[in-house]
Amino acid sequence: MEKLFIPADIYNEMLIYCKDHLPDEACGILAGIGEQVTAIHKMTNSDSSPTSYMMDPAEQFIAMKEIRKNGLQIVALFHSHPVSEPKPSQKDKELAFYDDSAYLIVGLESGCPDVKAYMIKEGDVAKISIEIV
Amino acid sequence: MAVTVRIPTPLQKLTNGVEEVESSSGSVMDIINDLDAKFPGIGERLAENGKVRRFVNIYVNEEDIRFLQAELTFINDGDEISIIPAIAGGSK
Repeated sequence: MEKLFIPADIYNEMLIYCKDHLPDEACGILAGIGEQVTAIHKMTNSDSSPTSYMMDPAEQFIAMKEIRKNGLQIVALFHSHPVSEPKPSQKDKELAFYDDSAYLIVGLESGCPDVKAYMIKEGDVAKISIEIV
Repeated sequence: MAVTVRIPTPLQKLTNGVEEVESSSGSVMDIINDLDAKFPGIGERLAENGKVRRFVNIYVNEEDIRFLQAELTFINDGDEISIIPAIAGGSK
């Protein structure tokens, strides 16, 4: 995947969700087909931490069933970095099991959201572009 | 009737793209060992030293095995197992 297409309403909903969860990291799933996002699943960060996240496993299980039932895929996984730049940390790279999906990081360090997307495969990171549609 | 094991997308490269695998009734670890016999390498992605890895969630039908008997949970014919790698990370 080289580019993500995200509808403006979903993009804004994601940013608001991340800001609302400050000072903690927020997380969620962007579902759709191929590179096109069509749905957002806002998830609970069971770590409740400003520097770490883990999607609540039960919520994740339910969301993934719904995504499959709707004939969609996990296009991207998002989380916020409240106190650092939107670059994958060592932990982000080590735990990037979904290497067919994009990892989207919402940086909130400056107060103005800075959103970047990456493909992460076996620890290798490649930046991809985001188009708001 | 067998046990159905749903393989998540990130692990389907180890199952030649197969999304559902049939296994026999037994404990969760028995089924992981059976999967590894069919698709070498998948076992170490799911478990280590007889324990399911921390960042792997396994459901029997709708129940998380951590709330049952974990690796020792007995899976009956007709049950469906879902393997769900955790989604986790963070800035530190």
